[in-house]
Amino acid sequence: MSNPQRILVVDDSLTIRRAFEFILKPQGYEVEFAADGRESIAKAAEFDPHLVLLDYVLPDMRGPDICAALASMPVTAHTPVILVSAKGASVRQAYQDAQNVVSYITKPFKPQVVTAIVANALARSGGAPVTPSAAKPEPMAGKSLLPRPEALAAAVRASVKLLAGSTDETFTSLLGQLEDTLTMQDGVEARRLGPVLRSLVDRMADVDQHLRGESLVPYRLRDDGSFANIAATLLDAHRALCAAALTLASSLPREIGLPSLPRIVAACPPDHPLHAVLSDEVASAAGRALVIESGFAQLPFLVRLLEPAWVLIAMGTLGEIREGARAALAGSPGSSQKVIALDAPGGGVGEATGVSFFKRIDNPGDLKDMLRALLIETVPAEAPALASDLEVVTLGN
Amino acid sequence: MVSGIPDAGAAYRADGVRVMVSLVDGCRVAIPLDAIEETHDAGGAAPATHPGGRPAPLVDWCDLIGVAREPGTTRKQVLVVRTPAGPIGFGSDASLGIRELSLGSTPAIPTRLRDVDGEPLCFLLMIDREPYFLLDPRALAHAGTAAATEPPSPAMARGH
Repeated sequence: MSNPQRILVVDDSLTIRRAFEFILKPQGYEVEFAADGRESIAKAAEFDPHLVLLDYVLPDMRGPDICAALASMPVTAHTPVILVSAKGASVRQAYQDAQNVVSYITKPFKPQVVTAIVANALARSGGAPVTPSAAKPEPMAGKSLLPRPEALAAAVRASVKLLAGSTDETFTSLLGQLEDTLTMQDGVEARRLGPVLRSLVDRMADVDQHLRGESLVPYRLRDDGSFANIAATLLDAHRALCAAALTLASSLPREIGLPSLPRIVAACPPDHPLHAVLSDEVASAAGRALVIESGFAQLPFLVRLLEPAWVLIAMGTLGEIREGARAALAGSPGSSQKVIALDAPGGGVGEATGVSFFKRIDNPGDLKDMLRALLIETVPAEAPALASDLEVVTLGN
Repeated sequence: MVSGIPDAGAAYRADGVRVMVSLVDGCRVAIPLDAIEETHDAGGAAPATHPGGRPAPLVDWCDLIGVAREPGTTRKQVLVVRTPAGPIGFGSDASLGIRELSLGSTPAIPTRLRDVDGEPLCFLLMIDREPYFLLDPRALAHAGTAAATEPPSPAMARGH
C-alpha cells in the first residue's frame, strides 16, 4: 500500500491494543495507539488519522468528550470514529450528539468483523482526510425514511441468512446499516419509525450476543442479570422485525397502497352514442370506474365481485346487454348498488329488483356531470340533486 | 388429455406470472400456469384423482362467485388445478391461451372473494380495456372442500 491509511486505536487495555495491531497491520494500515483520553487527543493532532477506534470506557475521560474534542480540532474535525464496546448498540445511545461516530465494534470481536467494519468506514469516508460532504451525509431534514427501505429489506434478508447459518460478519454489517439509517433520518416518518427501528437494532444486538466464533452461544445475559435462551432472543428479534416491517408498510404513500374497488361499473357497446363520453370519463376516473364494451354476460360477476355503488347500463342497441343487466340484478338480490339505465327506451332493467333509475341522456355534458356526481355521492337519499334528476322506475312483472 | 402443460416449472419470472386464460360466462379467468396440472374436454377423459383415488371435485365459476347458473349450463373444458386441498377441476367455456401478467405494470384490484382471514382470492386486472380475473388456486380449494362436504358456500366478503 503506497499511502497507507492511518488508524488511531484508543484503548486502555494493552491486550485490546495488541489485538487491533495484529488484525489491522497485516491489512496494510498504519496503526498508532493511545491508552487514555488525553493521549488520544494529542496523538490524533500529530498522527492525523483517517479513522479512530475509540474504547467506550477510558480512565480519564468520557467517550463523548473525546469525540467532541476530536470534532473541535481542525485536523480531526471530520475524522470518523468507530466505538469499541462490550455493550454494542446500547452504547450508541450515549453518542447521539457525537456527529463523528459512524459505527461500533462489539467486544469480544472477530478479526474479520473488525476488518469489515474498518474497511466499510474508510470506504465511506473516501479513505483520505474526509471532506465535510463525504464525512457526514447531509441530514435528510423533512425527507422520509421511504427512500431507504432497502435498509430494512437488507435487514430481513440478512436475518434470514443469519438464521440459515450465515456468519456474524453479515450481522454486524446489518446492525451498522440500521444504525446509519437511524442516524440519517429526520422528519415525521423518522419520528414514527425511529423507536421501532431502535427496538429492532436492540433486539438484533441481543442476537449478536449469541454469535461467537463459528457457533451460536445458547444463552445470553440480560441487562437485569437474568438468562435468555437463543429461542427467546430470536423470537423477540422476529417480533421486532415484524413490527418494523408493518410500521414501514403503514408509512407507505397512499398511492402505492392497495387500490380501491371501482365505484362505478358501466356497460356500453362501442357503437353506442354514449360510448365516447362514457369512455373518456371513465378513463379520467383513475380506476374508480370501469366500463366493459363486450361480454356483457360477465356483468353479474363484476357486480358480485366488485360491489360497485353504481351500475350504469347503456341500453338500446343490444339485447345481450339487457340480459346482462337483468342477470346482474338477479344475481345480487339485496345488494346496495343502484342501477341506472341510460337511454333505455321504455326501461325494463328494473324488472328483477323492482326499483331502478332511468336517465335519458340528450346532451353528453349531462352524462359527464352525472358521472362526476356518482363518483362522489353514494345513494340517492344522500344525493338529492341526483334523485330529483333521475326518474325512479318501478316495474312490475 | 387434450393438452399437457410443459415447462410449467419455468412459468414464473421475477416481475410477472404466466397464466392460462379461460373464458367462463363471458369472464376472462386467469389461473397461474404453474398450478394447472392438465386440461381436458369436459366429459372426455376421466377426471383427475386425489392420491387416494378419490375423484377431484369440480368447481364452477358461478358457484364460486355466487351467481345463479343458467339452467342447462355445461362447460366444454376442465382445467385440473393444483390446490392446497389437492387437484380440483375448474370448468371453462373456452381457452383463450397463455399470457404473462405483470402486477408491477398492471394494478391488481382485490375483489370481494376472500378467504376466512379476509385475504383476497381473486384480483381484477384491466388489460387492453378488458377485465381479467386472476384467480388464486386457494379459492378453488375452499370451494372444492365445501363442495365435497356441503352445498356450495362462496366465501364472498360483504360490505365496503
